[in-house]
Formats: sequence, C-alpha cells, structure tokens
Amino acid sequence: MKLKGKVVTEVFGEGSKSEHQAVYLDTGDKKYRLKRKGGNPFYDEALYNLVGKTIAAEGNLTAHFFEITQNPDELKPKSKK
Amino acid sequence: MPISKVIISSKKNLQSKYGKQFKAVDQLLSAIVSSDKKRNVVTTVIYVDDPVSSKKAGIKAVSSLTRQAAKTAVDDIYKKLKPVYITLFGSQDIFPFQDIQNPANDDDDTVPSDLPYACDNPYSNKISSFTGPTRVVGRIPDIPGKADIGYLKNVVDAIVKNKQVKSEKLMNYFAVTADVWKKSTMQSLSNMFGNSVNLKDCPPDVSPFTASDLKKLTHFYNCHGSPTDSKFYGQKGNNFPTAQHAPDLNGKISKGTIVAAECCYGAEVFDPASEGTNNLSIASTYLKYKAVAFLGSSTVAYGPSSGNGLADLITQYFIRNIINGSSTGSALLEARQKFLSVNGPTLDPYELKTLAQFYLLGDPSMWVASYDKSKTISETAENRRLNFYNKGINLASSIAPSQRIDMEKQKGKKPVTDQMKKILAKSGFKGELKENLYQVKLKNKRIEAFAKGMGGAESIMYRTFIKMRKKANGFSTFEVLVFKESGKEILGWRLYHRR
Repeated sequence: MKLKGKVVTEVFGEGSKSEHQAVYLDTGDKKYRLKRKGGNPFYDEALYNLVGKTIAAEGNLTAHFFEITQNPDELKPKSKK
Repeated sequence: MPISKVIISSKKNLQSKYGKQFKAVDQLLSAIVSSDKKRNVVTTVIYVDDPVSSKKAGIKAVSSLTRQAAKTAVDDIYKKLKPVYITLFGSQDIFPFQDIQNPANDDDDTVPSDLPYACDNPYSNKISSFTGPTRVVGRIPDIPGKADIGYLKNVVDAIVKNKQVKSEKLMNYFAVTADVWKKSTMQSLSNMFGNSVNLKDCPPDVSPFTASDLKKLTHFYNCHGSPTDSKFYGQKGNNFPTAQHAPDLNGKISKGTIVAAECCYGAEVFDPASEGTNNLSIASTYLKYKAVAFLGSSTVAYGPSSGNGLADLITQYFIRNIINGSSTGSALLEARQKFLSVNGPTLDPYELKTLAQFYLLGDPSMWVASYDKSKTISETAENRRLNFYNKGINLASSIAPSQRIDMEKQKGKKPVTDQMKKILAKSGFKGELKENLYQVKLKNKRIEAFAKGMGGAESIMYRTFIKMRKKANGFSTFEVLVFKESGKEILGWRLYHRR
C-alpha cells in the first residue's frame, strides 16, 4: 500500500525502556510510526533524513508500524533543475 | 496418585493449525506425560474444547475459546484437580493470553498476560482483580501462524531430557545491557550472582556473541526491544546497535538455558512472516535451541531512574529463585509474590503493568538447579503449595491497586502543592507536563483509617507527571515522576525513566 504524508518525529514509550524519538508519517488523518522493513526501529538515519519532508511511500501496515519497503533515498523530493 | 500437572490446550485450534500433524502434536504431549511419570509428576493433558477430554477432567467443554472461556476453563480445572503446575500449551493462536487493560499511560492498549491464569479471581480484564497470584503457570509456545512440528519437537525434547545441574553452574552467566542502563544492570547482576564481571556493554559489545559466551546456562538482558522484531538493541546516545539477534543464537545455546529479559516486548512470540526479515522472535529462538525457561515482557516495560525497580526486580527474583532450587514456574510465582510484597500494599500504575506483563515461556515444572535434599530443611511439596496459597490470598486481600481517575473531575480538587512543586523543580520537571491522577482503595479498613489519620480526610492517591527533556542533539528523553499522596501529605515519590 502507499501512504502520503509529512515525516515528523514524536516520542514513543514515554518513560519506558523503549522510549525514543520515533519517526512518524503524518497523513493528516493519522500518524504512523515508520520503520524500514527489517530496519532499526529506534534510530534509522535514512528515515531521519526525511524529517520535515512530504513523501509518498510504499510499505506494509503492521500492528505497530508502517514498514517502508522502498529505499528511503528514493523518497526524497527531487529538487527542481 | 493425585494429578500434579495439567497441560491445557485447544484441540480444535491445534487440529485447525496442524491438520494431519495434530496426531504428532498429541504424541509430543504424551511424551511429556511419560517423561513426567519417571520423575513422579503425574500429568494429564486436557483439551478444554474437546467433550471427551473435558468430561474426563470433570469440567464442561468449551464451545468457543474466548478469553473468558479460557480463563473459566483453567479455573474449573484448578478447582477440580488442584494441580501443582498449570502448563498452557500453544501460542496465542492456540490458547489465548488474557488481555489486561493497560494501567499505565503509554502506547499499549492492552497487556497480553498469563497472570490471570495464576489467580483465583474470575475472568476480568482489569489488573486490580489479579493482585493475589496463587498458582504455578507457564506456557509452552509453538510458533504463531506457523505449523512447525520440528520446532515443537525441539521444545518438547528440551523438556523431556531436562537434567538438573548444580547451582554453581547457573551462577556462570551471560548478560547484555544497553550502555545507558549499565549501572542498573550491574546492580541487578550483583544481586543475582554477587558480581558483574561477565556483563557485555552494548555498545561497544554487539551481536553476534561467541559460542563461549552463549553456552553459559543463565542469560540476562537489559536492552531495548521493539514489537515484532528479532533483535534486542543497546544504546549510547543516538546509537542503537544490535545487542542480540535471533539468528545469532543458532547452535550456540546450551540445553537447559534459562533466560530473563527486561526488554520491552522481550518475550513476544510472533509469526515470523510478520517480521521484516522473516526471523523468529528471540524468545522462540531460545526455546528452539532447547532453553527451558524464558521470562520476559509482552509490552513496553519500565525501570526506575537509578538503582533497581519494576522490570529489574521481577527478573532478578525469578533467576535467584531458580538458582535456589525452585521449579521455573514456582520461581515466577515466588517472584510475583515477592514483587507484590516489596512494592505493596499500594501499587502505582507502572508497578501494576510490570506485574501483568511478565510471563514464563517454558514448562513450569522444570527443576533446573539440583539440590541435596538431605542438606536442606525438610519441607513437603504440599507445605510449599500451602505457603504459596496463603501468601497469594493474603496479597489479594491486602494489595490495593491504583486506578486512573478522570483529570477533568479532579481539576481544582487536587492542586499541586508547594512541596510537590519543589520536588518537581528539584527533579527538573519544568514546562509542559502530562499529569495523571490515580486513586487507591485500601482493602483493610484499619489501614485506611490510619492513612486518613496521616493526611486528612482523603485516602491514598498516586499522581504522575510525564516530562520530555530535549537534548542538544535533537533527541529527547522522557521521565515519569510518581508521587504517592495522602490528603495534602506526600508519602513518597519515585522517578522512572529511560535508564
């Protein structure tokens, strides 16, 4: 499936043993916690590089994540030449 | 001889999942029964949704295995047979976890739990019903969503061939901590083993670890964990390297290994098809390679800011009890009872979540540490059971769980006192804070009267403040400050956070 939205960071697991600044895709209706399929759920630099950008990403929705199946580099908006 | 162990499962769900291989599953359960007989444990297998099996056990067969029906069936079996050990057979797609409403204010809606099966109170989804565990319960999981008879053969083989070892062998441990929690983990290890010399610190230490490290019989993790993930993670700053990866355990685990993991989602068992790399969970992998006990959490877990508390305590009590000669299931029951005794009589929402979320994967009747009976105090199994039961009943009648109350209703009624403001300031709690209030209803009227006498007309309450701290590198840490109050008096406060 494909989801479009703005990449933002938000807290996950406040005060817990898994608390961290997680990356989310804010579609306007809902925020989906992002992870690359098989990627590190706590810190993925490639996903952090997308923060603040609006993307349309292919992936799978799981109980806890929207798992991106695309290479994050392909998701960066192209600059106008 | 009376039945001392029951293996409880669902025939319909096993048949539906394993098809023609159900017979092989049934034979594996018979192998456990035969093996138990040789060690004087009288075991029976009960399929709660099979009329013949249920009738034989003296209970009414379940037509649809809802959570409520599963809990009621276990209760009926316990009342009828009074078994020493209750073994639930199968993962959540065979025999359900009980879903407890999450008492803490976090991202988990519910807490999958086996705690209700260990308690006498009837079905409920509220943790307040289950603060008096009396029963020895564990679960032999298969792989959710996958009918892998080979996996089950390995798990059962570890059970039927289990050999007790001297306690000293269990004192030689393998432990991994996220670097940020190193001090707390060192304290845990010191409490369990008297030293922390074997501790792996992640980073710099990362998976894969050597066969020499992993062959040790006792394993302990204090790392990050994530849902449906075959890895545990360390942490130093923004670096979250792999502290353990399920495939890295392949062929390196000793038979009879015992494991305790404090990590969030540490004991989660999931369908490998739903994991990004198609791997089993770490807990499932340990059992595949013939570990006999894995204690861990189903959901997001907690620890205090310094020292030991919550997840640290229940895991270290469990390991200590096994080393001291308890069966794996008794080790958990004793750990739960001690956790309640130490933290009670009132429990804050994070203590309640900890109680609910830790469960035992593995047959609860496994005795791992051998002991020379002639050198110990003479005590029958019946006397131990009586003591467990007494303790559980006493805890149920005295433990007072906190329950969240609507802040809107409390606004203006319970202002933040000056003393509280000072503590908040001292702890660096400034700016935007998320506040929650929890009420405790003490069960003993004399204690309630005593508490009221200390603080005025009101009974005991917990007030939690959640604070995000921004760090210069753009990352944030989150802390929870919990106040215990009686009227206008602060009875104590604790700081929990990422350690």
